[in-house]
Amino acid sequence: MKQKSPHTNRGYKVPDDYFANVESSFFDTIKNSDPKEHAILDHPNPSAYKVPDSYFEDLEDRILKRVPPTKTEVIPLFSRKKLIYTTISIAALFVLILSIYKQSNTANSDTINLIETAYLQDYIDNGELELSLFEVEDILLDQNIDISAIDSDALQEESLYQYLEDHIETEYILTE
Amino acid sequence: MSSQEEEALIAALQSEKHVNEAFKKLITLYKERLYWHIRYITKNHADADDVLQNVFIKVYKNIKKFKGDSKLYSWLYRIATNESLSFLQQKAKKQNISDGELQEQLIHNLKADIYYDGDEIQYKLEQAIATLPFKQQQVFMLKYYQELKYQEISELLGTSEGALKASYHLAVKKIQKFLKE
Repeated sequence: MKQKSPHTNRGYKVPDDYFANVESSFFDTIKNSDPKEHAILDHPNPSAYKVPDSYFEDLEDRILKRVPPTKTEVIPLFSRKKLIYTTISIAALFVLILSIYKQSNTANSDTINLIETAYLQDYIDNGELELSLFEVEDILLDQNIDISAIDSDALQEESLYQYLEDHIETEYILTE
Repeated sequence: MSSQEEEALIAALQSEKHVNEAFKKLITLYKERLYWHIRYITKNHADADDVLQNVFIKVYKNIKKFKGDSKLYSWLYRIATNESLSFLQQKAKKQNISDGELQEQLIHNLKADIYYDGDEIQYKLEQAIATLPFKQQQVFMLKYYQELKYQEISELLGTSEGALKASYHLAVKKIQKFLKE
């Protein structure tokens, strides 16, 4: 008994051996129609595409040259955890050094300020400074220190009057 | 290649030790089949060569992802098809033209291609094939140019033999119509 196709049970039918002949029907149709179309089938090799001589011979080598190198496992000298701890330690140490340096710098400048305003003044007032004012001025100029920055209030009023009386003529001041 | 040989080759490709040796064997086995598949899509030799090399490099990088659900060549064939299509899409995009316009251009360039020596009839057949939807082109080329059986095409494309026969029949009818015009 001929087995019924599952597709025929809805009333649809195809000619006998239709699917078996699909391929050959193409060639038969062409053969029986146009001589130009017929010519397609007469080509022993239907493809007209060519490749350069010896193209396939060295293809393996050319492709292998482009293959990425095999990955080798890299064992880190320092573990990630260790590296983080080390970085944190270095940063902490750096902050510590910086704060100590800043503190010491502040202390030095305070000491210098104290010397300028108190000890040095007493030292100069007591006549223990063996430099003349011109020599001091020269030193200050050599060091590029602004003379105007010197605190003039530190000079005693009596000394100033005495200095003016000794060095400047009173008449000249009055006429000006 | 028997299924046992194929399994051995896949195992070697997925091993660290023998991968390069196995990869060379893989290229030797499939280079020509893949090349012709790519060439019929890209049309010119230089492009086919580029795509073929990229396909093998991609295979090398992804061989460990191959689970063996299909035959090795079916997997390679799919990669080659996808690579070829993306290559043509990029080419069309670079030139700011449509895929259809690119197809016409590729066929037109065959006339001056030193690696194409088709006569007038063969050239007309190329033009006719280019008018087909891509799936029909694939079926026609696999059947007509590569002379594969429907069962083999079915494995490659993951389509039933019945659907392939219908697709081929449609392709043939369209080509006939084109040639008669």
